Amino acid sequence: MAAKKDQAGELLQGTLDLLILKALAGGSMHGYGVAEWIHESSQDVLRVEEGALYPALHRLELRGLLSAEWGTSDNNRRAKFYALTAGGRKQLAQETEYWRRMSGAVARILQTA
Amino acid sequence: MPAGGFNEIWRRLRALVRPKQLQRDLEDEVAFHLAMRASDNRAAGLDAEEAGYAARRQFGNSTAVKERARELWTFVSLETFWRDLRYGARMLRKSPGFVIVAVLTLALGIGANTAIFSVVKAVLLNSLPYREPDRLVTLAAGDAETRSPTKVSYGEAEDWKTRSRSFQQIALYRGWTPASATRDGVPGMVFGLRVTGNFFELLGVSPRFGRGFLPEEDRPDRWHVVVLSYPYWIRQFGGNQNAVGQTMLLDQIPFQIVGVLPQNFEPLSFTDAGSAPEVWAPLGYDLSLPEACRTCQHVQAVARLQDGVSVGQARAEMNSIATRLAHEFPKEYAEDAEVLVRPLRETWYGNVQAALWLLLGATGVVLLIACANVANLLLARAAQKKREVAVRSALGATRSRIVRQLLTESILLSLAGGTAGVLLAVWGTALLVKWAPAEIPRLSDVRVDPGILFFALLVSTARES
Repeated sequence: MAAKKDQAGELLQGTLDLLILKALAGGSMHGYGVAEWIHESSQDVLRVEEGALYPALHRLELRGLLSAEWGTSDNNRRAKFYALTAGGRKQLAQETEYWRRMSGAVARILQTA
Repeated sequence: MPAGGFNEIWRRLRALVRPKQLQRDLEDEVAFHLAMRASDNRAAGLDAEEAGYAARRQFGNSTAVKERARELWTFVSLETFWRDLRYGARMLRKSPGFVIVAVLTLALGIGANTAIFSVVKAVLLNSLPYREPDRLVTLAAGDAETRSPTKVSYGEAEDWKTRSRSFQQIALYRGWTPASATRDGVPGMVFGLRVTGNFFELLGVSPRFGRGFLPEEDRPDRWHVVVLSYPYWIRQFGGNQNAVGQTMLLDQIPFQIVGVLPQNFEPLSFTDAGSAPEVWAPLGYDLSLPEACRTCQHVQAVARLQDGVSVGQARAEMNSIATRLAHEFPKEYAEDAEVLVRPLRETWYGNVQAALWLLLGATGVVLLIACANVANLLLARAAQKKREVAVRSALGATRSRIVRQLLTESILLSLAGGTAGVLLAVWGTALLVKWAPAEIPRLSDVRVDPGILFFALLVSTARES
């Protein structure tokens, strides 16, 4: 797959999973919704590469962190809705905590003169 | 896998048994995404056609995305391997001429190699079935006139025993074909050996049951005891252990059966008896017998080297003994009398060793030529495939994926060739054993064993690299 690595807003390896979990914390959503939610919530800074989004969603579903169900979207189309499972919720808490520690540490390092 | 485990396998299995459903779901999901993006694009002011294009552009290679997602669900290596295998088989079926030529070429190369290698392994590589076979040598009395002697006289061998220090033991034996009656009373000949009392002990072979010969039985008046070979015992006594202790008539003389040799016993097979010996009796000579005379060279000698003594040292010692004997008995021996001391293996295989290696080398070259030919065929085929590869990589197949697919196809070809080769080898080995000259010893041991099959498999796939 032709990945555009130099594109602005490229996500760090592993952060995509965290963002997906966070996006679904508020309720079930389809893939497109997840992509748009991340884009909007980051105030247009982050754009999820859509080619990577679906494999990530499926990976999380396989690991049992997400459950999936086919339903009907607002505009009456058949769509696959993802939701957090209990395991997903736990994972989200862990990863959020981990991310806080990491970003805090990186920020402290950058502040030192 | 933190939260995976059993459930994950279950989910995968479900996807595996419903591959069409999985495929349709993936299609739908991607199509839904593209439709949503397109409609958002339209809302942002693009016209319908342009909105669709933009959506697809942003999404990237949707086929590759679907493929990646699908691979997550399936037992991917297994399934793609199976798919490649089927695809490879289909491709090969399309060009039967190529396949027949390639498989036949490989089969011939591998088959010939495997067959010859089977023989070489049985005859040359497997060790002789005796205790420390490398310490065994054969001795024979010769001179400048007799270049390859095989025999010695009893009288001279007795001198060797008392004068030499290079050997732990020297055993003597001679062919023996007494008349006998079979179990149903039909008269016939039995092939046998008369051996000195230390013969079995020297080889390191003990009887399956019963006993070997006692030293006091190796005398002219006491030697009427026999040890039977395993096949003879089965044939004549139906494998009954009561055979030991019974008597049997050989040349009208009653012999007591004292033992039966193990099934895997390998008789020293460079004796002059045409077939494998079936009965063993003590040699039962002493120096008073006319046949024990110094010039009656009709017994053969096998010896076990003393620890730390090399064949060369033994040879030097024996030659000096021969020279001294020639001085002491100038009428009986030529002046240049010598003793031929050879490792048992060499005596046994001397004539055929070089020929077999040569044959193996020749078939090896044949195999190389076969491989080169098949490689050429494959190269020609690869040129035809350029188009197919170009199309596939344009559709988003990764390089490794294409290589894996092409490799699967040629491994399929190799294994087909290997299988045909092994069949040919099994058949060819049987043929070799049947047609081989009697000089090749231990041919009865030749068989296509797992080691050899592994060799064939290695050869057939190593061709890949």
